Amino acid sequence: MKFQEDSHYIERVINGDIPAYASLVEKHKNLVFSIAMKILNNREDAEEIAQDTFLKAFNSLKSFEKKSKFSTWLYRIAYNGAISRKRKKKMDVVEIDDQVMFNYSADEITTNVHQMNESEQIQLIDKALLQLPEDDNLLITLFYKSEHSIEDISYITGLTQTNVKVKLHRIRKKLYEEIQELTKRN
Amino acid sequence: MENDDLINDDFLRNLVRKSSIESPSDGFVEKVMERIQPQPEVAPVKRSFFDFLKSFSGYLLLAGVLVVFFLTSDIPVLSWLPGKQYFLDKVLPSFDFLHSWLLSSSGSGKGFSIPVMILAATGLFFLLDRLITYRTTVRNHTSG
Repeated sequence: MKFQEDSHYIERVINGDIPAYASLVEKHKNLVFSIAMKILNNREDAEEIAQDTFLKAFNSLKSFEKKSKFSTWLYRIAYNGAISRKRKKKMDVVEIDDQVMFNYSADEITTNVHQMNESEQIQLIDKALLQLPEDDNLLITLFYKSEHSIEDISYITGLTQTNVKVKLHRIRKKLYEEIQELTKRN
Repeated sequence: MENDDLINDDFLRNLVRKSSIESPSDGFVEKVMERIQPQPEVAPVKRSFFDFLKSFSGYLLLAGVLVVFFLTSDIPVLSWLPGKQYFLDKVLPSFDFLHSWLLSSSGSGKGFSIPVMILAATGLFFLLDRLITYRTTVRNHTSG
């Protein structure tokens, strides 16, 4: 399904064409759900948060100031909702250990991964991402998969840009280590 | 320098892009839209007292029963009700022209006056029902 720019649907919704909002939901549902899922690691909770996110966004659509992209604004709502749910459930927030020493060989990993076929590579990266703490998984996905800028990620998560950069560097190294571990096991 | 490593890491970028993305359950969009467009609340509609009499024959039957009751209410406990004699002496003569027309157009007075009573009572019930139904409808429209 090919979608138009978010602003097109937003204008229509603001002008009273409420069913046009369904296109925005369809367009962003996977990433919104993914954000909630990565933080909560529970499908039911993630789906509820994703629904609430779209509902909140709809109710605040008129006050959306377009200072950021609609998608970034939406993901921020999803992120805050998921974090809030996580705190309510008193789930453990895993912090990155600053003292961890990373030990991997990027060349070796690259060679091994390039020898794999497409489906093996997908399996490998899915497994490696699952090994990361939920928040790290989210950050790296937002950066590399959704191609959000550091500024956008900072807005979504409420972290400072410097903090986002530092975290991404560490997560990247951690991910390399996980990939190396998995390729060795295979 | 480190920032460049991060941004220029095409190997990791391409690999992460291949990762599966979670999808919500089927019907997710519909569920969201249902919550956005809540179904209008159904206002409780007062049913007319006479709703059970939907057909004309229902009115006819009820009216018939009541007319029979009135015409045969000469029993002592119902002495305050106008009885058969009252109808014969007072009510029917007041519709003299109709009465005489009915009498003249038929061989038997009773054969016509009783059906006329039934029809009049039926009409009365019908109008009463329309009136009550109309008031209920108006109230429902204005309460929204």
